[in-house]
Amino acid sequence: MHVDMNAFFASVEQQVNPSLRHRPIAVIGAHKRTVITTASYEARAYGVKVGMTVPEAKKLCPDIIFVAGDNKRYTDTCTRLVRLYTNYTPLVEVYSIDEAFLDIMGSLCLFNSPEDIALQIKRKIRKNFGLTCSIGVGSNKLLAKLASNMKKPDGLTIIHPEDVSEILEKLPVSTLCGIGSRLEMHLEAMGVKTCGELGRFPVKELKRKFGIIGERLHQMGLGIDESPVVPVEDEPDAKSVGHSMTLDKDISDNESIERYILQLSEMVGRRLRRGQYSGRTVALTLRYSNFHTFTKRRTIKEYINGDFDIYLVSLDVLRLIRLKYAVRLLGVSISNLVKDYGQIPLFKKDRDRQSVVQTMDEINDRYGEFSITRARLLDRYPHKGVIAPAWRPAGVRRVNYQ
Amino acid sequence: MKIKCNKEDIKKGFHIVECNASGSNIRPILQNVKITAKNNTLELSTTDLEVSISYVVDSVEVIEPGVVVCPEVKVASIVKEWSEDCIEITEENRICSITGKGSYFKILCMDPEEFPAIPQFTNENYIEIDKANLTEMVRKTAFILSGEKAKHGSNGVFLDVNKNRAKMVANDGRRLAEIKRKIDNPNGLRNSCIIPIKGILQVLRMLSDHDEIIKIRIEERRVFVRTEKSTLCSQLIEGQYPEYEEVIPTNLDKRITLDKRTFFSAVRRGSVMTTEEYKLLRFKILENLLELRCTSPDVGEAKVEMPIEYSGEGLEIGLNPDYILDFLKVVDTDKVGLELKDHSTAGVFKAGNDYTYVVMPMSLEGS
Repeated sequence: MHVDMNAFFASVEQQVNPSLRHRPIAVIGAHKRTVITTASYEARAYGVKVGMTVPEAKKLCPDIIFVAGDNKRYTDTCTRLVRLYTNYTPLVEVYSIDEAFLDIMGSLCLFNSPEDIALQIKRKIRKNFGLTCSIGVGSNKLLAKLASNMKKPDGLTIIHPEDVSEILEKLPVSTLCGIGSRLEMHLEAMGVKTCGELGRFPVKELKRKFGIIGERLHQMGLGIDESPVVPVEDEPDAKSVGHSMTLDKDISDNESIERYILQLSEMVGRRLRRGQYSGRTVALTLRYSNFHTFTKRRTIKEYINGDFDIYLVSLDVLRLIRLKYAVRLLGVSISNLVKDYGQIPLFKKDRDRQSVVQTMDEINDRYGEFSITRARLLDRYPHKGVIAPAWRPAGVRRVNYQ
Repeated sequence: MKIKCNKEDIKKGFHIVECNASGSNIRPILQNVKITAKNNTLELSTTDLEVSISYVVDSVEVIEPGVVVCPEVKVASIVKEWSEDCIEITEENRICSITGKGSYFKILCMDPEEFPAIPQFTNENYIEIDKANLTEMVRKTAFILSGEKAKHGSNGVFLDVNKNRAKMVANDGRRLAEIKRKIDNPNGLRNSCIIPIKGILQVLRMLSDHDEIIKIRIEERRVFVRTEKSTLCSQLIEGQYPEYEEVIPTNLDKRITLDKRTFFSAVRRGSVMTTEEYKLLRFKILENLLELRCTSPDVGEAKVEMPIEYSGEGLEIGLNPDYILDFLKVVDTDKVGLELKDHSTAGVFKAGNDYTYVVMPMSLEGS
């Protein structure tokens, strides 16, 4: 079963602020070079789409209301939604912030039918959150997602096994999750336009052209998908933790670059400590104004998770780089992670520093990020960005703020 | 310049100066060796601006004195592979020629003017130390800092000279080693400095096999270490060395004497189950028994027991076995003392005279 929240960010904002309900709104980022991340269905009626810039949307829909996104609101809602899903099955895979897969095979003896579960979930989401969703039910993830996409908003579509081949026959390949525009182009060049054609296309040819995914494409054409629903707790441990951000404007002076790095280090350190991780390879990513992007890293002997330690190592890396152009994007990430690294420092001043960091974490946990921070970051860059597809209700994962 | 000398003598010189002129240096001139011929001696010098080393080869037949600066790697490889006993080096018009019976090499040289000045040892206000003592001091402290860079701010080895004693200390923020040895200090100098790890490892390299007395002179920004034939000068790390004495606990009430070989083997066996990610080895002290346990989440578990003489209160403490093995590797006594207090206070190892090794424990909570 696939649950897809309709116009998630916009709907949440409309719930929070009743004056926005039934009006065309668009959720945007907080900074200057932002784009629309979600438009309400009212705004979509005017042709406003995700990814448009503010002036573009304004032109199509003069009455549109722009709302700066509040990530915390969405992640909180998502966490609560996941809790609701787990009333029906423990196997919940959070696919992105507004989509989830539920494996309900084992729950059918408790609840009558998939349709019953779907209706109950829809009813509860509407009652408890005031939100609508589209649910698709199918015998695997591929078909469930396909089904939920068939009717939006507020849909419920069930694809029965006996109807699969009929539905797929005329369906354009690009409607399948996992086939993007480039792949579609390649397939079209081979004379494959619909899923039915894809399923009948010789596997050998597909493998020759696309390598290992050829086999997978063939199965997709037939509506076969054997990938399991992976609950959050079963996902492999994080390999690295990182943040990056596109700057308000291109910068080239070291002072500002260092301050952004300090801010990123603080964000990385926070997430690292939340998962009880420590790491010893720090990587710095830079994108020049000409979009040339590169990463340099340094490995140290000791595992660290303090903001300032990460910052100092990042600065060491920065010193290895001779800046050629103004910088557009900066990223700090840390890898080579260990969990629960318990080595106690020798010197009291280091132990004191750990206690300060811990106390700051507790304050920020309670009153929100950057409630307490270094004085140097007081006029920091507002970092409300977009929640990346990699966001999960629990655990650590790499997130990019664009 | 034109000289003739014994091949073995000059080969030894190159061995001592060579690793300072590594190819990784950004300034090409620093990949060269400066050869100065005068008064029947030949002086070889290399520098990377942080550490410089010179070595004097004596009883050389100097036919024409002079200075030549040429690529260290090239000359050293020629000298190493030289098959005759005697070697002849001449320089003319910035071309250095090395000639033997059936072979010759001509190497293009650099302008000697471009080579940085090599600091000269001033023969006053120095202390003297026995070679064996100095080697021991370096060997028993510097191991903490070798390998990858620790945290930010490269650490060096702290050298403290006071009256007739010298102290050497190294720490990496989690463990610390301190060693004290006797010195000869006729002028009653009192001084201290932080020597970068690079410089201190070079000291170890340049100390020759036969016994001798070594002179150390600490200046404001640099330190000299001089043996009979070679001189090393290292820049110092600026700043104050941390108040390290405060991390050596004095109120430790649980004392055990361990047999080094048995303990070494027990720790080695116990550490088999640790991984790069999981380093916690639990040391449990019971009556007349030391129990080592490791439960590594992805690997498995181990328990190793060894008999000890102990009759006090029991204790469990988590330590990184690598730190203990590092220490045991440099220890040359049969017995090792271990003093502890509780699971969150540093443990102190003692081996022989005036050698103390402090290890901070790992937290036992959360796992």
